[in-house]
Amino acid sequence: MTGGDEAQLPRRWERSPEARLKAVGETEALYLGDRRALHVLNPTARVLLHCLDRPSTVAELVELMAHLTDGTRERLQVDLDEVLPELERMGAVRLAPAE
Amino acid sequence: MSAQLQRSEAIQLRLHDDRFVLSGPADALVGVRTLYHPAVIDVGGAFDQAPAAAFLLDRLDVRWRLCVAGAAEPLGVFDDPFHALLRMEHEIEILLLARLEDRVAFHAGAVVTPDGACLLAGSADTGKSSSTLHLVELGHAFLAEEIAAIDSAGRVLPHLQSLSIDPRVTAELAAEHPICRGRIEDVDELLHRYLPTRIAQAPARLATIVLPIYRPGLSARVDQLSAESALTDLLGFCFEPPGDPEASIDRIIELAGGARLLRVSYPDAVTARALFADLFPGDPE
Repeated sequence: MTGGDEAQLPRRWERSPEARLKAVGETEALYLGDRRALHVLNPTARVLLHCLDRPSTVAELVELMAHLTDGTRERLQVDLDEVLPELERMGAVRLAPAE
Repeated sequence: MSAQLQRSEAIQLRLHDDRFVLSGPADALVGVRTLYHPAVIDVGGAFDQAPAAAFLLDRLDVRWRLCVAGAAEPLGVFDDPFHALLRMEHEIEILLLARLEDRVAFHAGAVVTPDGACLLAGSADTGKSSSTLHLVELGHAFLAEEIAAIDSAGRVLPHLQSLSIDPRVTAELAAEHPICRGRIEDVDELLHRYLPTRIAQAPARLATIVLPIYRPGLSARVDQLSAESALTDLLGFCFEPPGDPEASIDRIIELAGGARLLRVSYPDAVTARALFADLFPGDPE
């Protein structure tokens, strides 16, 4: 997913500092401060963004989410491969700086 | 020369916490009474505070020029005084929105029901103003048109501008529900202004937010909405805040969580009137 020369290294994703979760009714919304945008989250996106409170690799996210949702690991892997780049384009997540 | 002989007048408008002054020939200013409820208009009285803006309307040959005191350029030159006043109305809205401070403001009308203030929020042509008219005609006190500002205590502030109404609405209502709690003024064939008789001059706590949807052919229905399902629409109907946008979003989320939220869909004015009569039974007097 991250491609390039660093593909061998497990890259970690994290929630962007500008992305803040806000309780709305019985769910949560994602507020992106730098874009002044608010997105009401579906249950899976909500779990994912909470998992990204701390930097995690895709493999770690799959494990975490497998315990928190009904998704199979295979399905979660496919979903994350699609969703993470999309959230990155929105400014909601980013690749964590290498340690 | 004749313009110099015309009687001049100064009118003061009281909107939110602000005052606006308009000066010009008396007969050119009569349109102010079509645009604003008489309760916010003082003519010839003492000014109780410095105005947020002072407008001057004067004749320029056969046309009319509108200026703001202190501005280098006029706001515009118009064929008739009324269109100059419409421009002033727009300018006043801009100034008020720039002075919201800790308030949030929706593109909405508002009335006061027994439960509290009911906001009718929407963009142009969704039936926001006609929905406000229905509720006023059902006996609820008129509170706001066009700008419904909510203060930090959750109260909707009076904004007593007259309602802009599509003449087709009053034509549809005429047979069964002729206008009886206000008066209609014909601005032109495309637009009427409705001046309600019964008004609320004090802020009222927000209780309900209605999102009306008017579209010919639509099925009549009322949907109770959750905060999360209404939030995107509400944000779209909120004026851009002058201050911290995140603080405004937090306030809107809070307001949405504390209010009854309804989407009211209807295909015509008579159906809308019936739906609103069921939802908000009014004063039969």
